[in-house]
Amino acid sequence: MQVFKNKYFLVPIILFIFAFLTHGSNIFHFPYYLDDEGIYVSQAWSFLALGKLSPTTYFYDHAPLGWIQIAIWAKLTGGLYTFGYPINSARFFILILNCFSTLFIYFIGKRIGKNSIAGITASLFFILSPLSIYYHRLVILDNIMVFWMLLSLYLLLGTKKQLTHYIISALCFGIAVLTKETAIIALPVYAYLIYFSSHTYHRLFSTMQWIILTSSFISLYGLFALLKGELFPYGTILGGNTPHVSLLEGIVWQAGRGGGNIFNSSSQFRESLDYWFKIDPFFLSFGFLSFILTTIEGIKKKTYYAITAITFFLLLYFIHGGVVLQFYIVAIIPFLCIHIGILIHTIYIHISSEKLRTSFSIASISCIIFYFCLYYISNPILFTQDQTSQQIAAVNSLQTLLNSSSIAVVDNYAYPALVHSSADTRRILSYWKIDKDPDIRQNILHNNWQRIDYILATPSVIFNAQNQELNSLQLVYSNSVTIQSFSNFDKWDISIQKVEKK
Amino acid sequence: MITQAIITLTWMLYAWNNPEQAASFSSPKKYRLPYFSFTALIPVRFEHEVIQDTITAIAELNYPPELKEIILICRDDDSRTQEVIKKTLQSLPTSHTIHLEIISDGPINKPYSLNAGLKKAKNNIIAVFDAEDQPHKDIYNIINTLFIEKQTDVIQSGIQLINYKSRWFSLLNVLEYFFWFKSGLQFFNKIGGITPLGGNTVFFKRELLDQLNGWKTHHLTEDAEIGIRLASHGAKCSIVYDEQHVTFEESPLTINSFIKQRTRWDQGFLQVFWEGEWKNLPTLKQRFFVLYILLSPLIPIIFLLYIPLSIILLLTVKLPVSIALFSFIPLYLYGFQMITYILGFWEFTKVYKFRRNILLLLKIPFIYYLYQLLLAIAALRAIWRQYKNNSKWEKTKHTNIHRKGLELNYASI
Repeated sequence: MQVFKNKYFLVPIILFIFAFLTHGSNIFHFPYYLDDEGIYVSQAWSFLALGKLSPTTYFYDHAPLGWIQIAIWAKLTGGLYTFGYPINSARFFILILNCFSTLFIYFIGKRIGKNSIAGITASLFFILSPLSIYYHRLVILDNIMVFWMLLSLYLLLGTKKQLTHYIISALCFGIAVLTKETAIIALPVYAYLIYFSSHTYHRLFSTMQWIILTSSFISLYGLFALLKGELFPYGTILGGNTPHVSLLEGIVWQAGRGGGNIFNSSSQFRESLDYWFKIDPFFLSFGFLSFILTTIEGIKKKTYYAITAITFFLLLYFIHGGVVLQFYIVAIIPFLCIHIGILIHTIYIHISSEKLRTSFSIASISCIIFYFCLYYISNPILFTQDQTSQQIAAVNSLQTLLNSSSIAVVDNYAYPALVHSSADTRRILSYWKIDKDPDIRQNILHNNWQRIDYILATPSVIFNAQNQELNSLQLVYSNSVTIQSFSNFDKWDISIQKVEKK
Repeated sequence: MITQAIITLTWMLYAWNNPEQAASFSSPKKYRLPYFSFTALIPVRFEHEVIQDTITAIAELNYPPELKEIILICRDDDSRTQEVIKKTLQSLPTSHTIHLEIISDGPINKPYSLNAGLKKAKNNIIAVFDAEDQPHKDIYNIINTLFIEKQTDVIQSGIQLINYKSRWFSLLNVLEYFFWFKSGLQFFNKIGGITPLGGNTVFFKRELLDQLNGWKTHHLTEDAEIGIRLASHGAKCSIVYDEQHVTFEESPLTINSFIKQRTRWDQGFLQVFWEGEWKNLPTLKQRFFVLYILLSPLIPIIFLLYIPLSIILLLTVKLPVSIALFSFIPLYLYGFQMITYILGFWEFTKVYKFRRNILLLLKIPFIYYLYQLLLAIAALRAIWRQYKNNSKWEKTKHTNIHRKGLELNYASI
């Protein structure tokens, strides 16, 4: 077969296995189950079991294709409990996606640099960076979005592109946007990339068809909202007077979420940046330096320019003053990796001697692996620490306390393990929803927080009870007593609290 | 609707999919020495307005005079056309071998005329041209080269309607031809394993036509019928297309003419379908695609119903959101077709160096539904005529509009 005649055919296989091992080792125990992971897995469960986009009211916070993909994965693999705790199933799905993302990074680096060294070094950073491993284990929409963005980009690069490649790329990009809306900021760059890299013979068709197809796919979200009568906010001419959620309201809410002035050290961006640099200063420094240098190089090479533009727009998104959660770094990691690969390739091609080039390649790869090996020898917690067992123990314990009429308020990580039917969704409540969801507030709690029996309190729940405008949650928490506690890493303790009725 | 729309979009875009493959269908850059001899059969009926230019154009094709001849087949009751033909022949050099064959018997249709011409043909390649055709000067050299290099049995070359501004429906008619000959033929040839033949600028090896006893004389689409029979007998059909070497024709100038022409084609397809020769095609793939081609003229009837029915359903019936969403897919695909037509128009004007009229471009989505209405009327008319067993040939009037005012464009191509 032709593929085996290529001496580098083993490289992608090795990279895939390497990514599986580093991202997959200890994946079910580290990091701890995040709030957001519970939300997406419970929405996936809801799609599978109830045919709804959310167990409670779907309020268009995000387009639903991300958790629909998790639901499809769960269906194909025998349900959410195949890998133990429900979130584990979704983490395994994310692991598979990230292994393929590794391959895309390799092939994209190889196509841009026109040799394997760019691809190999780029993907090594993706595989080995602690920042990458940490966030790539999480069930967050950004991981799924990045997979589709990279696949879409891969299909646009290289020679002998056919219209079919562009059509599939457009669909992939559309899926990326409907997984997480952030992807849309890269749309103009992708369109520009097609325009200047496609063959003149079909340039018009490929560019316009890509734009139209992507836009049409994305418009399905708006059409969905329109068919549900939830496109326009209520109280408007087109929205009517019956209270309901709306897509436009969701978009406005997301766009309006502020993260503080980036020059203020307590802004979300600055806090996140500090946290990222704490985890992996080497990768981030090298990555940003590579970004600057490839930007300069990109003046001459349009393909570099496309990668630079994507990175630039993502950085703009981070610093525009909006909300910047720590896992948002996921979107930019692959592009920083590609920048590093391009930089190493640029040095490589300036070496005139073939022997020295080979030595340089071996040295680069060895240094990267050696550096991270040293790092993990001194910081092995990614592969050794257990941050989830106590979370699971707390959920199991709460489960034994509940009866068919008990109402419990929980951290979202616990939600998918406690909810098994439609009836459960009326008594297991996400902590955020008891204040923010009118259906829950009015129809389940009847505006009386004392109907709640238990609260599964985590540092997230406690922090939000004390700092956000969640009055009911605040009252529930402050009027409850700890009946069981589970100590976890770094004081990320979990407690089951019984609400004292007055 | 979804399947049909996807297949339509696929064949419409096929030519643009792979630039290298598209190049393989274009005319050869270097011509071989003339080897094959050509007989051009031109059936004519009431074509006095156009035939003079056509005879001149075909007589002056670049090719050795001794290797080409023209046979014009005319009916005895068409004295005006006969007069124009005779005058034209007198004005041409005697080195041209041109015959006028007068017929008085048999059905009054094109295949009968072609068979009459075939009996008199001397040369080894039979070329079919229509009375209004304006072929490219090098067409014989191109076909001769391809017959030598590809060792094929039949070659279909490109045809292009050119008068896109004549009437409101002319633009879409022209674009239909543009997509069909540039892209559709390639798709069905490569993917379907079948080459839908056009009614003219098609070239057959003489011995093959003799083996098949020529065209079936009761057929309204003798080109489709003979194409399927050739494929059943294992003949190799090739296509050649590039914009520079197409044969120019005109789109009908009245709605009446357009509908009659389209009725004839649709009814002809129904005849071919009903006869069942397509069942003898060797592969399932060929049978599927031929069936698609033969029955696709009926699609406009369904499409016409879809839009108003969808609106009624949308306003009156409460469907689950997922089903409602799914029902919008044909509308999206219809939108993609509009975009493809607009892009095709852009390409068409670029290739033929016409000035782009943005208003015409924007008109496409609005006239598309009306155009489908015309096609649906033609399809319904075809079904009715077939039901009534009325296969009288309704001739399309030609006015030479494609030659008037377009000389500059011909020169520049």
